[in-house]
Amino acid sequence: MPTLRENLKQLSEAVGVSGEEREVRQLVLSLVKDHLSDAVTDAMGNLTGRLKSSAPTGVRVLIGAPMDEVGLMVTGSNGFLNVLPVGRLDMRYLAAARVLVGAEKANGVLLFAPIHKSYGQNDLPSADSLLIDVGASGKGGAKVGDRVAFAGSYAELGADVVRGKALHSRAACAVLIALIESLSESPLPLDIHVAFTAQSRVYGRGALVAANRVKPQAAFLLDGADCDDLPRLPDDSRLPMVRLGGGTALRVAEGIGVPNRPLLEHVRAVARQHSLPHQMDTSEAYGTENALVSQTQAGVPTVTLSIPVRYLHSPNGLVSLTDLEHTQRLLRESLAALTPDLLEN
Amino acid sequence: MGSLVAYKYGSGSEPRRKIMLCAHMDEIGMMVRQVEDGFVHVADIGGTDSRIVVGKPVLVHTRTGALQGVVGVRASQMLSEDERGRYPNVNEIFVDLGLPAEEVAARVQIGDIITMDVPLLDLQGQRVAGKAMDDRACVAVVTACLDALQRLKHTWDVLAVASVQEEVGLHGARAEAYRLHPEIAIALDVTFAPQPGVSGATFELGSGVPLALGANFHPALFEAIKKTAERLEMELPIEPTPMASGTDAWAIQVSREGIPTALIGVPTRNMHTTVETVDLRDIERGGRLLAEFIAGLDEKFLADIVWEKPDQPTESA
Repeated sequence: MPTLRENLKQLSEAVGVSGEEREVRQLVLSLVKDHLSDAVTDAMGNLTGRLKSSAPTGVRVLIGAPMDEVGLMVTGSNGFLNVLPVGRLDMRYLAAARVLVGAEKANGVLLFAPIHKSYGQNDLPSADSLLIDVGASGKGGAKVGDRVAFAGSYAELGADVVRGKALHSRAACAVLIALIESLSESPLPLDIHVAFTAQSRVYGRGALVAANRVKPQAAFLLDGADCDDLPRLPDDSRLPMVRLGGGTALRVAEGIGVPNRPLLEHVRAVARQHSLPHQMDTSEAYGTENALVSQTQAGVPTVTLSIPVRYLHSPNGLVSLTDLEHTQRLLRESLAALTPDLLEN
Repeated sequence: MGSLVAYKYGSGSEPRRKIMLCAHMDEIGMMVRQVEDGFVHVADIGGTDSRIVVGKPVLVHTRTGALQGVVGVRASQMLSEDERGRYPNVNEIFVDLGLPAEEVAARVQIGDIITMDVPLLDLQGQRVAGKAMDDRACVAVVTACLDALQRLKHTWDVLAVASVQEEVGLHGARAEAYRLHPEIAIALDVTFAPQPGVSGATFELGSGVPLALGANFHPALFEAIKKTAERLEMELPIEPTPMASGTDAWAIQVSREGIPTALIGVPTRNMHTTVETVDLRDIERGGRLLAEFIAGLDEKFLADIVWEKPDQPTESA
């Protein structure tokens, strides 16, 4: 059975820009299909399924992990490719970036005027001014609508930290895959459904549809949290909220909506009981899967467990494998301790 | 200084004339300025652009081997009002090695060299993108020339120099021009290809290797190289460079009692980034032009490249 480490590398290197998650979905399916009954790829591109080891009479739980990553879409060509953003891009990471264009994954580079000619031009560019060079004149085989993904440089930096692209979603996928394997070996008395969701970076709309299909009584979502344990300005005395290696980040607030309080307290209590490291994230991060899933049916108790990621929006983020393992254990123990009365207000 | 010189001896009788070819092998990079809580603060070496390095992989070359890392920058929610909407400057970026702070402190020293860690990328149409194409593309031109000279007879000695420290002041070429004391010299460096944001003279990738014209270059040597291109029916764009060229040619020209010097360029996009883009056809063409020029050098060449020849009839007469 492939290890967490091997899965994470494959998942990070696969390409799945929001709205075209095919390659990631096929990879995930190949890794989990033996453990799922009625696996479905739905109209949004979500992969959902029920664990074969589920207990049909138990509480119906949805566990989600996003598959997609931010990127660009080709809009035309004027010698170089014109593009528009898919998801929220941090423009600091686009200058001279290496990219993969279209299903063929043609190599491309983001143009950047040499410092000799652009010294002092420090304002970040607007997204519609970005241009991609694929080498050939014209579009070089690229089509309008082709997705463009960052090319990451996956590497293990020491014993615990790995570097790569799209880790905010693929670390979540790797944890969910590890959890599925664990639950298949030692089942819990719950009716467990999983969803590898599409379009998390397009307002979280994939998870909404997955939740509509599964109709869970409770939802646990996995995600990445942007670390802020980085060098600060001398006059910035704030303490870091999310540290790499600091354990699962539990988001207390979101840009829109608040995670279900009893479920959040449940996870927190389980973490304390099992001495699993966790950190509270009050940054009101831009995460909407939780908000959307919690509003399905007549409301679903939903909580998000996030894996700390440094440089979350960059082509080369960092995650700690220990954080992944701790998050998988925290999720498993939270499920194990889940009782129906917890879900009644 | 550390420059590398390859000697390819000519077939002429001694003492033979010498031509120096010079392309620099150094690249821009960074240096460890400070280590703080496991993060490596950096200083620029030779013109690294802090706008293009964030999020890119690097190697920190320590005394116990190279460590992989990534150039980090503060998360967007941490930025001050002043930092929003702009690229970070060199004081605002750092290298993250993903290692415990104690291990970083034990292994990394102030002054350790940092290089970008990116492979050469194949683009379509014989184009490649990578770091250090400035000026390894021109080192490749020199090697293509030496290859071509294997099949050509040449009487002059060829001294092929891969120079050091060009990006910090042309120092390798200056020392090597003095030490080798060649009769003539041709420097090679990258020049600008057209792209948005680049004004002035530009040369399209794959359109040939431009020959520079201006105060930094000997006009008769310029003409002689141009004639070689005409003989080969090779397209040879001209790059007007009125004053300083900013290349090794600048240092070589004023070595000792003055050395007739020329400059050949390789068109490059995104110069001083990790995706410097060049066309392999330019590299091959440049090598062939140099080799044919060198094969044509004879005993009387030096007499031909003087400014004025008042006592001799002109060629057209």
